[in-house]
Amino acid sequence: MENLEIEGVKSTYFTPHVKLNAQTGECSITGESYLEDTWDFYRPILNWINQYCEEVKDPIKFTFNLTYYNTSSSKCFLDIVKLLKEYQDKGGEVEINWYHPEDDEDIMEEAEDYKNFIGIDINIISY
Amino acid sequence: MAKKFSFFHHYLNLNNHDIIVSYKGPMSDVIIHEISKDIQNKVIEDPKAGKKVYSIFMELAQNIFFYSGEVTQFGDKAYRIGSIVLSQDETNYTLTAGNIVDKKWVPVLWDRCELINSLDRAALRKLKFEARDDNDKSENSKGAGIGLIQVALTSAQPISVEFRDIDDQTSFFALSVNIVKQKQ
Repeated sequence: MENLEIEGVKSTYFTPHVKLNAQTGECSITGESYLEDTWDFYRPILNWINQYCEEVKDPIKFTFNLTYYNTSSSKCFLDIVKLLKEYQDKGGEVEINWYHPEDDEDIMEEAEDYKNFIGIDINIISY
Repeated sequence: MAKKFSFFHHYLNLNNHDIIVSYKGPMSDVIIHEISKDIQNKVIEDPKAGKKVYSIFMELAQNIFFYSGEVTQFGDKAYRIGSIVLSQDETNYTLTAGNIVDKKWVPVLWDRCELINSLDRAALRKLKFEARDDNDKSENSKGAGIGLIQVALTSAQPISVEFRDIDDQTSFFALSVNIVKQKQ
């Protein structure tokens, strides 16, 4: 299975840096997320995770490290976490790390909400 | 009798220290970006509140971008029109956004804001999660209703709304929210 990497771009819109590695199972979304078409951007990422969970079936370590995102983007993060929860429920090994700037409680609360409402363990790490 | 418009007073008003940013016009993505950079520069001495101001501005601007009922045409592109003002006093930043809406949205927006203001933070977080969970393919899939909940969560203050009838079809919708300054 192919790796997927999308370079982060900061112009009128902000694209996060995305790294999805099918060999190591290490995945990350880093930076800022505010896109012209949020779904267009995140659909291939969701598809990649789906394929990984169905074909590779190895452990997956997903890291979110965002400093800004709009609500449309957070909807997609929620979808990613839900997919990972499904994988875990089917026996997949999942680790989720959510980094947030120390003084940004709004980004921290986002992860707390995924954790509480979806019922999956997330390491919430302040820096 | 209508009062004559005074450009001088308008100019003084805009130069007033209390108004940080004032914009009315088409809300294109480029304009949103430019205003957002301007706002970031002007709230830089209060980073924590400033980041809240920035992210609330982005949600309010995107609401106008997607949903304003007033549209203008530039060449082959259509842009929605709205107004955003960022002002301040000693203790608060205040963001006010206004645009024209079809009257059918007035009760929906009104109820939404009433509900948001009636909930405590824990209930608001639950509402945000539930709203996102089940609006996959609805008309609001760009996140509108959630945007307002996020505005309330980010500001941790009530949001105030005002509607003024324009004609039989349309109303002016204004939303205002305070962000408490952390450094004064």
